Amino acid sequence: MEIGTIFEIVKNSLLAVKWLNEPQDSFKYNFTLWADVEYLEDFFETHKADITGHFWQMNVEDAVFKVLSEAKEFEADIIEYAEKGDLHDIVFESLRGNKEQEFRRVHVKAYGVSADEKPAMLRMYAVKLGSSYIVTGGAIKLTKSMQERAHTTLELVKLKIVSQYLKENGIDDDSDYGYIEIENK
Amino acid sequence: MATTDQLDKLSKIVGGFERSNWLLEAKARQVNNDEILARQKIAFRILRTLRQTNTSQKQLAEMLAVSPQQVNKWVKGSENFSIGTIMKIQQALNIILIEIVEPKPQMRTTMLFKRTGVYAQVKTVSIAHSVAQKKEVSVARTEKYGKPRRLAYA
Repeated sequence: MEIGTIFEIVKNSLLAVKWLNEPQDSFKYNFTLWADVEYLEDFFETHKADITGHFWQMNVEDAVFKVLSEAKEFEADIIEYAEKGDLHDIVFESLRGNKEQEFRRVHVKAYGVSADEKPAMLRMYAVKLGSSYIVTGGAIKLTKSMQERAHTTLELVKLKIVSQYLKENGIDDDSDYGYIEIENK
Repeated sequence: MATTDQLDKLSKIVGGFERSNWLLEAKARQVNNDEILARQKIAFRILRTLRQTNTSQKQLAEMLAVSPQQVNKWVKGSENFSIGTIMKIQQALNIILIEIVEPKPQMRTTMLFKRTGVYAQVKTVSIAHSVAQKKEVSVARTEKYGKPRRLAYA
């Protein structure tokens, strides 16, 4: 994975990495995938064991339309807050606070908005830089930990690459970093 | 280091941030939500049929004499379907993608008031029925109950 360019989604608050091997910046690309019925149908066929298990208990059709619905709501929320210029306070919410400051890097994930009783499947991952966020990727998360599946493990790798990139370029200040996970409101 | 300083530094390192058009596109999607959902439902139905019948997108393209790229746009849910296209896909895959449903007449309850003070729910009639049809109802009531003193429609 190699960083190509960086896109500014919302001025001074939301940026997104454009990876060289992906067709769009990671923020836009995830919304493209989450609206792509062919991609979603294939994804959930591949991960059928995860969605039909005890936790999710749904079929491929339910899962596809859950993601389509979540993505729509997620996008609507980000539009609203982007227009207010108040994105970081509302869309991203701290789950564990800064208790792991020693990691110095802030890995952030923004949860999708689930309209049903099940938790959201969608995640947008970002590195926190001061009061702004650099989106590194996103995923449909079906398992408890990211390490359990290759596609979410890849997102961890992307976060580390961007963290390392910032460090190598001297954009590195201990006071600006912590370790945050955020969850849906 | 302040966030703006960090962003300025990052911007210089990457040769300036690219401007994203996501917001404009996303707002357009919000306006067309119903249309997009309809396309996605049709796309999903096509995909499931292809999977169940072990038919490839390329085969469907050949059946319809269109390019595989065109079929791929359909199944992604990103392309509008014309009525003609939907009819052809239905025929090729032997499925129903859209169906025109005849509207059911809206029903309302008619109450017949009689001087005797007895209320009776006599029948439900369609709002769509004309005044002439109301007269028919009235006649029917007359035959059954005798001439009504007053006929009120709730």
